[in-house]
Amino acid sequence: MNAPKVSRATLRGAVVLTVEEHSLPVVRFVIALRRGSAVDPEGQSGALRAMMELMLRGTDSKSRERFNAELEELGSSFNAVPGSEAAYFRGVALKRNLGATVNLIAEALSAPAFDAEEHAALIDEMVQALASDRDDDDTVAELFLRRAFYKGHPLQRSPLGEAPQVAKLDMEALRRLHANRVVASDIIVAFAGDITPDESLQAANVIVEKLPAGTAPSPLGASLPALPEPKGLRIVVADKPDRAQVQLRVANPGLAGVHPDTLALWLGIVAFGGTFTSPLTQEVRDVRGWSYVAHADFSRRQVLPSPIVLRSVPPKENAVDCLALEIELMDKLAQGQLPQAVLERSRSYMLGRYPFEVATAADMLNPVLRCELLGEPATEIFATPSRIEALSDAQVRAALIKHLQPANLTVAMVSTAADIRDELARKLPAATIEVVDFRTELGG
Amino acid sequence: MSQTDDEKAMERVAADAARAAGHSVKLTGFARYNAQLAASRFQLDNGLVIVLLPDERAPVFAYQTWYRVGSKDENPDRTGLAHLFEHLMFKGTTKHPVGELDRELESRGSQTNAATWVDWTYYTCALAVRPGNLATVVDFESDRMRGLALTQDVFASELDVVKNERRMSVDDSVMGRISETLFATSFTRHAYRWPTIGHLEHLETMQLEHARRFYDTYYAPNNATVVVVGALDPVEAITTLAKAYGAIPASKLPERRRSPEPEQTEAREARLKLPAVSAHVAMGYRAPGQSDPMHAALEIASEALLTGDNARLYKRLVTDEELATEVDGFLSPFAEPGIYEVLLTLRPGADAQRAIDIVQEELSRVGDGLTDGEWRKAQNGLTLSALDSLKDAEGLAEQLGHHETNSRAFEKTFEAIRRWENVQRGDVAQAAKTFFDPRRRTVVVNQPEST
Repeated sequence: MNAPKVSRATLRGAVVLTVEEHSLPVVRFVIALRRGSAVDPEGQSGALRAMMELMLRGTDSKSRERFNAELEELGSSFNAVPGSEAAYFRGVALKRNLGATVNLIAEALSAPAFDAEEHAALIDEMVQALASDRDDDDTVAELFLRRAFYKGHPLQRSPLGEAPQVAKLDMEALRRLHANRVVASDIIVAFAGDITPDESLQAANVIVEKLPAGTAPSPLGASLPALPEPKGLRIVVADKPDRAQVQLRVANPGLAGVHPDTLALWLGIVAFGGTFTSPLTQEVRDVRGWSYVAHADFSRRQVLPSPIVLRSVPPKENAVDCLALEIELMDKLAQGQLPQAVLERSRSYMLGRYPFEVATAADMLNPVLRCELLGEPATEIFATPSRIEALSDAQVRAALIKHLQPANLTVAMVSTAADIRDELARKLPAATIEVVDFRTELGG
Repeated sequence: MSQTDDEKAMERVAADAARAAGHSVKLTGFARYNAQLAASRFQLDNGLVIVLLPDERAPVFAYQTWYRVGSKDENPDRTGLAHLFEHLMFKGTTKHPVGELDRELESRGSQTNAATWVDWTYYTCALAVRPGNLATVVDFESDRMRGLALTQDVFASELDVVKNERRMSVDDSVMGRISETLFATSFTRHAYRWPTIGHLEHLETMQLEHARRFYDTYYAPNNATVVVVGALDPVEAITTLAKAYGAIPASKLPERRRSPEPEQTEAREARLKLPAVSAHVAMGYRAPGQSDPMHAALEIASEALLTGDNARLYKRLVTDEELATEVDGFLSPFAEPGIYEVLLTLRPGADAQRAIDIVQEELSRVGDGLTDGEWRKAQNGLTLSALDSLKDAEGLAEQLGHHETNSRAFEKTFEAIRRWENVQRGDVAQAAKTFFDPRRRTVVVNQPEST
C-alpha cells in the first residue's frame, strides 16, 4: 500500500501541510484563514465572504477577465468558501499546471485589485443571490435554525451574509479586512495529492512570501462571547406558501472538538441517528415512513461548540407528530437509553469506516486541516481507531446524559404555518412558537 | 509488462477461479490506464459480467451491482417502479430477514446505498479489506439478486418513504418541478419523458404485485454487472463471486422496444407559476446519447459555455447584462439521446425572454468555433475532472459500472481522460450547429407572481 503521508512545516508564520500521494497527477489545495465570519465586525455580516469573492475578481496587474482566463485555461479551480469558524480558498489543479496556478493564487491573495466597479457588482450579486437562496427549503431551514439557536451571538450570522448588511459593505471595510486577515501568521496552506513536502514548501513560499507577516491572532474562542444558554423548547416556523412537507431541524447544544467528552458524545449520536439502522432513522423512516431523510449530525472536530442537529422532512400531516417523536427519542437518549447492540454496531461501524478517512490524499485533506485548526497534531487522525476502542459504553452513556437537554431544544420548521400552527400549540403546549416570513429581512 | 502479458495474467485468473469455483469464467476485456490501474472484465456462463480493478492504493474495496434497468423500462402508466424497487431491495430475503443486510454491513463499516436513473439501477457498498468482508457482501448481494421476500407491510411503509422523497425533491422544490416539466415537454414519446422518481398518482396506486413482477423480470445475472475495485487478490475475488453467482439461472429478458423520440422541429415552451422569490428558466436542447462521438464534442462546448467566471453564458448573463444570479447546465450522460440543459436563476424583474435570447445567441455562436483559450480550458478541465473521478475505489467503480451498463464498454472510464483527443475543433462547431438549433429547444419558465 502507498498510504498518503502527512507532513507539517512552518513558513514565515504560516503553517504548511502536505498530504502526499502520487497515484494520479492531480493536486488539491486549500488556503485557510484561521478565523471565519464569526469575527466579522458587528453590523458587517457577509464581509469576509465579500472580501474573499472580491479577491478573485482581478489583481493589480490582471483584470478579472484576464485572471479568470489564465486560471480556466489551466483547467484549475480556485473558489472562496467562507465559514463561521474558518474560511477557505479551495482548488484543484493538474500537477503539470500547479506552478502556474500557484502564481495566480499568490497574486490574488497578495495584490487583489479591489476594483470599485467589481465591488459594486459583487455586492449587488450577493444581495440578489441571498434572495434567491430562499427558494430552497433546506437552505431556509438551516438559516432559521442558526438564527434561533445562536440568537444574540455572532455565530447567528450566516457566513453568506444577511442582505441588508451586505448591501452596506463598503470597499474600505473590505480592504481593512484584507489587511488584517490575509496575513502569513493567520493562514494555513495545505496541498494534497501528487506533491512532495519540498514541492509543497516551494509552492507555499510563492503564496506566503508577498503577504504581510502579521501577528499571531488570538484564539477564536477568546474573541467571542459565551454561547447563549438555551431555555425551554423554542420553535421558529419559517412560513412559506404551498408546502407539501415540513423541513424540520431540531438542535441540541453540542461540544467543541477539544472537549474531553466530545468523542463519546459523537459516538452516541452516530449510534442514535448516524446510520440506516440507528433508532432515529428506523423510527421516523422505516417504521412510520414519515420522511425520506431522518438522521442526526454532530461534527466532532469543530473549534467552537457545534450543535447536534436532527434533520427530517415529514409531510405536513405528520410533521408535528414527527417532531414530538423526535423529542421523545431525544428524551430517552438523554436518559442513556441506547440499546447495547446499537452502541456496539455504531462503534464497529466507525472502526470499519475509518480506513476510508485516510484512504486517499483527498480524503485526508479536511481532517488534517481540522486538526491544525484545533491545535492538534495532524497525526491525531491516525489515533481515531484506538480512541474509539478505548471508549467504554459507560462513557458514551454518561456523555449523552450530561450533554443532551431534551427540555431545551431549538426547532426550525419551514412550512406553511397555517397547516401546523394550531396542532403545534395543542400537542406541544410548553413550546414557545414564533412564526416568521421565510423572506424575513428581504423585504418580501 | 505489455498488455498481452496483462491479459495472459488475467486469463490465468479466470482459469484458476473457474477451477476453484466449479463454474465457467471467461475473460472478455482488459484495459489499462497506468502502471497502477488496470481493469478486467469477466463473464460467467449465466451472463453475469464482473469488472475487476485491483487497486492497492488503500486497504479498502468498493462493491457495486449494476442492473441494466431504469425508469425508461417502466410502463408509462406505472412510473417510479424502478426507483421504488431500489428501496425494496433492502427489505430482506428468505435467507436474510429485513434489516439484516444493513445491520451486518454497517457493523463492518459499510454505508450501503443505491441509486436509480433513466438507464440503470445500482447498489453500492464500500468496506475495508478485512477477513470475511468480501465474502459477506457477496453473500448478501448474490442472495438478493433472486431471493427477495417482499411483504405487504414492508412494501406499504417504503412506498410512503418514496412518496415523501418525491415531495421533497420535486413537489416542494422549484428546480425539481421545473426539471420534471422540462423532460415532460422535451420528450413526447420516448421513456425519458417521465421522472425517475415517478408521478405521485402512479405511486399512490402502486401494488406489491407490480414490484414482484418487475423484480422477476429484470433482476437476473444476465442483466447485471458486478464491479469490484480495491486491494483484493484477483483470484480470490473472482472465485468468491463465481461460487456465489455461478448457479443463479439466467432469465429470459424481455425485448425492450422503446418508442424513438421523433425529431423536434419546433421550439416548445411551458410556463409555471410556482411560489418563489426568483424567476427560473430551464432550457433543454435535444442531445446525442453518451456513445455518440458528438457527445464528447458537446462536452467540450459546454466547458466553454458554463465552466468558470469567464464561461460565455455566465459572463453574458451574470456579469455583463446582470440578468441572472446563477447559470448552470448539464449534458445528460444517457445511453440514448437526452438533452443539454441550461438553468438560469434570474434577478427579480429581469426579462426572461431577453435571457433566453442571450442563451440562444451564445449557444449558436459556438458554431463559429472556440477560441484557442477555450480549447485549452476544455482540454485541461475535462482531463482534470476525468482523473479526479478515479481518485478512490468508489469513484472508480461508479465510472466502470456506468460505462459498462450504458455502453458495454468499461474501458471508456480510461478513454474519458483523453476523450478530447478524438474531437476536432470542427466537430465542436458542427455539434453546436446541429444540436443548438433553436427548433430543437424546449424552454420552461417559472415566473412567480411575486416577482
